[in-house]
Amino acid sequence: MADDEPQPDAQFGEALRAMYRADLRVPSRVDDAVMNRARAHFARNRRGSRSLVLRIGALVTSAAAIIAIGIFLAKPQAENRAPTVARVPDVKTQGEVDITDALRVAQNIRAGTSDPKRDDFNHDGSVDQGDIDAIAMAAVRQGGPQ
Amino acid sequence: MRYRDRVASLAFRFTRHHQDALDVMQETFTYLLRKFPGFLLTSSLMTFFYPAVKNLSIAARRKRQRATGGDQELDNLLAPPDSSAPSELAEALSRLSDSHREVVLMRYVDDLTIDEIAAALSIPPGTVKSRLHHALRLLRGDPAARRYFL
Repeated sequence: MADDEPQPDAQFGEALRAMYRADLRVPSRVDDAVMNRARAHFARNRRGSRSLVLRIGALVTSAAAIIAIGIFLAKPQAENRAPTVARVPDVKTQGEVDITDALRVAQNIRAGTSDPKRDDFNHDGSVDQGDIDAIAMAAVRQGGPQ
Repeated sequence: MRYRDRVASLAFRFTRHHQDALDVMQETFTYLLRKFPGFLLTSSLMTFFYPAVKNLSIAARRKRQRATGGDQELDNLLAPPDSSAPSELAEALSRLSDSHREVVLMRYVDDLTIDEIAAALSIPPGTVKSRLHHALRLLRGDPAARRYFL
C-alpha cells in the first residue's frame, strides 16, 4: 500500500453503519422455522448414521455366517472324501476329485509308486507334476475343499 | 443464532426487501446445516455466510424482478438504501462501482479484515487492498465525502 493511503476517520464508519443499518425484526416464526429445519436435519443424520451402523453390522454378520457355513460344509466333505481317496486308487475313474487326490498322486510320484493307468489324469502317457496340477485345477473348479 | 441478526442485516443490504431478507436468512442457515456433518470452517463464520447470503440475495432479487415484470441485469447491488433525504456520503458511495463499494462496506460496516474479505470474496488479499485503496481514494477525492478523510 502506498504511503498516501487514504484513511477515513471514525465518523466514516459510523455514517456507513447508520446508512446501512437494517432494523430488521426477525419474527419468532422464522427462528422456529430455522430451528425446526436444524432439528430435522440432525435427526435425519442420526437415523442415517444409525442405519449405516446397522448395515455394516449386517454385512459383518453375513460375512461371518458365510465363513462359518463354509467351514462347516468343508469339514464333512473332507471327511467324506478322505475314504474316497483311500478307497479308490485310480483318480481317472472318479467322477469327482479333490485336492487330496492331487496329494496322493504327488506322494506316489515321490515314492516312485505312481501308476500311469491309475494316476495319468491328463492322459499324456506319464505321471508327473502336470497330473498334480490338473487334479488340483479340477478340484478347485468343482469347488472341492482345499 | 448468534449470527442471525448479522445475516439478516446483510441479506437486507443486498435484497432491500424485508421479506426477501428473511427468506434469504432462512435459506442461508439451511445451506449451513446441509454442510453438516463434516463442515470444516477454515476462516471466520462470516466469510462462510457472506457469499451464501450474497448469492441467495441475488437470486431473490432476480426472482422478485421477474415477478414484477423487469428482467434487466442487476446493478447497484449494494447501492445506499433509498432515503427521503439521501446524504452526501450516500451520493458519493453510489458513484463507486459495485466491487469497490462492496469492499468498503465489508471493511467499515461489517468490520472484516482484509484476509476475511479476501476469503469471503474468493480473491487474493492484494486485490482487496487494491480495491479498498482505490475506493477510498475516489471517496477522498469526492467533495461529497471529503470531510470523512483526515
